[in-house]
Amino acid sequence: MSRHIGRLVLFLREVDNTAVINGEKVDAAGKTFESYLSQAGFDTKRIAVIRNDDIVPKCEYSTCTIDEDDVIEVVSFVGGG
Amino acid sequence: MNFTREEWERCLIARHGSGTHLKLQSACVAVCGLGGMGSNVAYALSRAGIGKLILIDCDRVDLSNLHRQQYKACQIGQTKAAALSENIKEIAPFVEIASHTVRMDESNIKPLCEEADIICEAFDNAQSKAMLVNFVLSYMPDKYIIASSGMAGFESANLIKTRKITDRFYLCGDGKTDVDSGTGLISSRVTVCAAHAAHAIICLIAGKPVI
Repeated sequence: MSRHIGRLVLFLREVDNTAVINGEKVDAAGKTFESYLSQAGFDTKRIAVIRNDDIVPKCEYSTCTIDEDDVIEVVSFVGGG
Repeated sequence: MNFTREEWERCLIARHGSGTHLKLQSACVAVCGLGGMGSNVAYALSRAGIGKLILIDCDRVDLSNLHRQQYKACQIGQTKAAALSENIKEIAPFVEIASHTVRMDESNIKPLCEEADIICEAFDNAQSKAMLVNFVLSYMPDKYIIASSGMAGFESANLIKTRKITDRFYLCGDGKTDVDSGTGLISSRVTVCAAHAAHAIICLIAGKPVI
């Protein structure tokens, strides 16, 4: 029985590609930030991306991939000041 | 001027305590953009007894600024950096001010803001806001950045909040109301947002919780 549960846990871990982005679970692990941000419709000139409390520098959007269980906040800026 | 530096400091110490006053007096804040946000943030910090302000804006005072920015009709045509510096000196004559009339971009953020403990993003353009926040968090890791997003329109002032995004990054505003979508900027709501930013800055300097 415990062997089956172990396999099930392993299976669930393998299929879990989710990261938490702006408070919601998103199937984005493995994608580059560039790919995720463009698919999600963000204007990269008006955002700052924070991953696990650290900035993701803009020059790393195309090379850096989103990891499973990352907690990401995409901060969008609007005009006015 | 009919008071001395000692008399002025005594008033501040009576209200803030000598420890906090010393922290404020030793702090330097760069205010980037001197419109509705920046001019009001600079006023609040000056009144609270900040030691040094770095005031940066590329623009001149225009008639269309007077409805929400801390300038006077007689200052139309002056650079905002010089006009604001003049106004602050009338209120808080002992604040040290470095004023710069220059457009900020990635090449001059570091030299302009090097001395600051805290950088206040107070631009009106969304791309400029993102540029400054990204640059400071990526390349000036010892600085704090206080930014703003969403303060236009007549919606409730209670929707304006301060959020802690990281240990070094605080964001003030409602996050939504965009001046580019045709919503105007109303002095009262912009001032609420500026007060949020100024209060976050003062709390950080004083070593008190911001949120």
